[in-house]
Amino acid sequence: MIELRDVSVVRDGVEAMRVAHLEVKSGQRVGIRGGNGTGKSTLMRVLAGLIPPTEGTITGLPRLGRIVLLHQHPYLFRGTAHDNVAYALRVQKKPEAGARDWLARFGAAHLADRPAAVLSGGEVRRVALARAFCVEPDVLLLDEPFAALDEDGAEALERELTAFSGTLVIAAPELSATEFDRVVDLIREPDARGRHIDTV
Amino acid sequence: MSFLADGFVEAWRLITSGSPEVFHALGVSVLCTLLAITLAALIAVPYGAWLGLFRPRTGRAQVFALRVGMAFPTVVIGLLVYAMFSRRGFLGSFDLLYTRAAIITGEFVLAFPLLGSLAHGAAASLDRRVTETALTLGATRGQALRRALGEIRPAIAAAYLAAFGRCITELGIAITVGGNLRMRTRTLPSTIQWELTRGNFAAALAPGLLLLGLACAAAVVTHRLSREAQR
Amino acid sequence: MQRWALGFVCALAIAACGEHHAGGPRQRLRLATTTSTHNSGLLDDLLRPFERREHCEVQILAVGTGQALKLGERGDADVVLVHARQRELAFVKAGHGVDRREVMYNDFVLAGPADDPAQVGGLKIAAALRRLVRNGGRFVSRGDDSGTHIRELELWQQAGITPPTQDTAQYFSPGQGMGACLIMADEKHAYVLTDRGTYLAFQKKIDLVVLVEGDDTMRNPYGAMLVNPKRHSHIDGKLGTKLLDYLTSTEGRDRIRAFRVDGQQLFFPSVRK
Repeated sequence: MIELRDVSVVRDGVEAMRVAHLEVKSGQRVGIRGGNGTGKSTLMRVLAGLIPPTEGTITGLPRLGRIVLLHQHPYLFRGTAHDNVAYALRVQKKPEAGARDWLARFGAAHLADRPAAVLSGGEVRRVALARAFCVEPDVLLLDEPFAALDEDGAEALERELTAFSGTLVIAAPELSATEFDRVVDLIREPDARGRHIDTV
Repeated sequence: MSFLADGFVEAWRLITSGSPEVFHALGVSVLCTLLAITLAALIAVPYGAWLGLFRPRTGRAQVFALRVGMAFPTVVIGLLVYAMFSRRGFLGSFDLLYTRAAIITGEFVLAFPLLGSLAHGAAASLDRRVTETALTLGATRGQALRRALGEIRPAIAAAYLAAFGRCITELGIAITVGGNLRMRTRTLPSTIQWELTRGNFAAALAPGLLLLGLACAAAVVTHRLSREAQR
Repeated sequence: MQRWALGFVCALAIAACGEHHAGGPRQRLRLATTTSTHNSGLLDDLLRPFERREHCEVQILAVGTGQALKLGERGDADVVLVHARQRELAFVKAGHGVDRREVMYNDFVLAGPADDPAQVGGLKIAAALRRLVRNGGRFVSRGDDSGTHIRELELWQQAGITPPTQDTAQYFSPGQGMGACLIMADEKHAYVLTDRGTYLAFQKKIDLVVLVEGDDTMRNPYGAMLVNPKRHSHIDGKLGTKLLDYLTSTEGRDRIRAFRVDGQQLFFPSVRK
């Protein structure tokens, strides 16, 4: 179980996020809902263990590589789509031969040998999803994963999400509560200079 | 005017006739420079990139040290290496003063902060998602560093060429610790200086032209790379 | 374009005038000479009285003999004071210089490491050089076409040895001044042919000792010449001749004789002809 207590992140003197209390139990599916500038992406980075909180405590974080974050705007490395997935498999010490299968699961098999630099937004998303899922992590953090996906892509993602058995945290401005065990709202407190609290 | 023109004609003749002295100096220049900057790059580039990517606590001080090193007058570097290799210096017993190894050492010291500083700049301005993505996928810090180096490859190549340009034209180090020894440690710049002190303008111009050619080649490659990087 | 050029010339003229006034109405004489004479400090001693008397300024261009002669050839110097007799004579013969005078001489010595690894101490110079090569001793050559370098080559020739031109572990040719070569010989534990003056000036800073000296072939005469005023109109022949007269006058000779470095006389005035 991951637990955050009184966690805040200050960047360049501005508080980017504040969470009084948040629990993510193992195997749970948690949605994080919040408008622009409420600190969703910062929270996701904190949960991923990529940035340390300025204040507060976090317990129960799996190590990097067992908890995978997919950025709101995914970054593909130089090289082809295949290189990107193969890279994740390589650092996970998994056989790189599986890369094509993972791309195929997200309807991106035909992109395998294209340079990442020429892919469209939706294509980048598919490749990045394949790269994140192929790790088969304990915890998967997806920041607005449906953005830029067409109908086919969204369907493929739904299918993989259903098949995924680990802990799942999805952040987005709009979520349908039915798919999640819990939904957390991030709200901007208007009188407190960009502070955020969670209302569970 | 004919002074210059005659000089060019004579210099061209020296080059095309393959003057052994000039081409030996060319070989020494290129060899020493390549070895020095390659050795420096192998250490300085990952080091500088590491400072830029992971911003360790003492990182600012280290970056400052690199910048100071970059501003170091080359003759002072020459003096320091001289002091190190002199018979009275702490490495004196190796008898390395006035050898190519001494030149390489000096140029290494010259190139290191330049390469480190430029690699730091490129890494610091690199999209932070690069290391974040690598780390979150399970890469070690070392693997993430290598990944980031791959992403800033054009900047590294440009830094390497800048270091090449700086070292190949270096005169102070070549003379102070190289000793300008004929057919041994005489480089293109020190040949120019030596021929000029003997009043041989044309003979000074020949290595000058070769040096100019090398510097231009480095500039062309840098330009190409930067255009490619913008794409 | 023409107006431009005119402006440029005017600017130059103004700059030149300014310089003239700032320096006072003193004449200038350019003396191209070798680093060995300049480094010893002799010229400062010798020329100051002359400058005061003639109300002029002697600019010293301290370079190698080869370049000093080239400077004269181009008219970039008024008087040349060097030590390479053959070249001096050729210089005069070619019409570049006139009124050659023998001024003084000093001597060369072979200096080397105190432990004398090649065992050349006390020998005559030719034998010493031969043994130096046979025993694998290191040698630093000036390699800069200076008078010392030319003498060095003559001595090798007399010893029947062709100095190596290629990269060898024993022969160093840095193409630098006497001081730099002494330092290098000291650093590399090598032998070096040097004029006594420069050696004495460096004696305290290096561990080299004099191993071979006193041969007649190691005498080093200095000649002075006026650069031919007929070839270069701007050469000040009058003042130049005055300097030559002064160098060979009784006063000049006395000053040369009186000059000491660490209590040692370095230069000997030439015998009057």
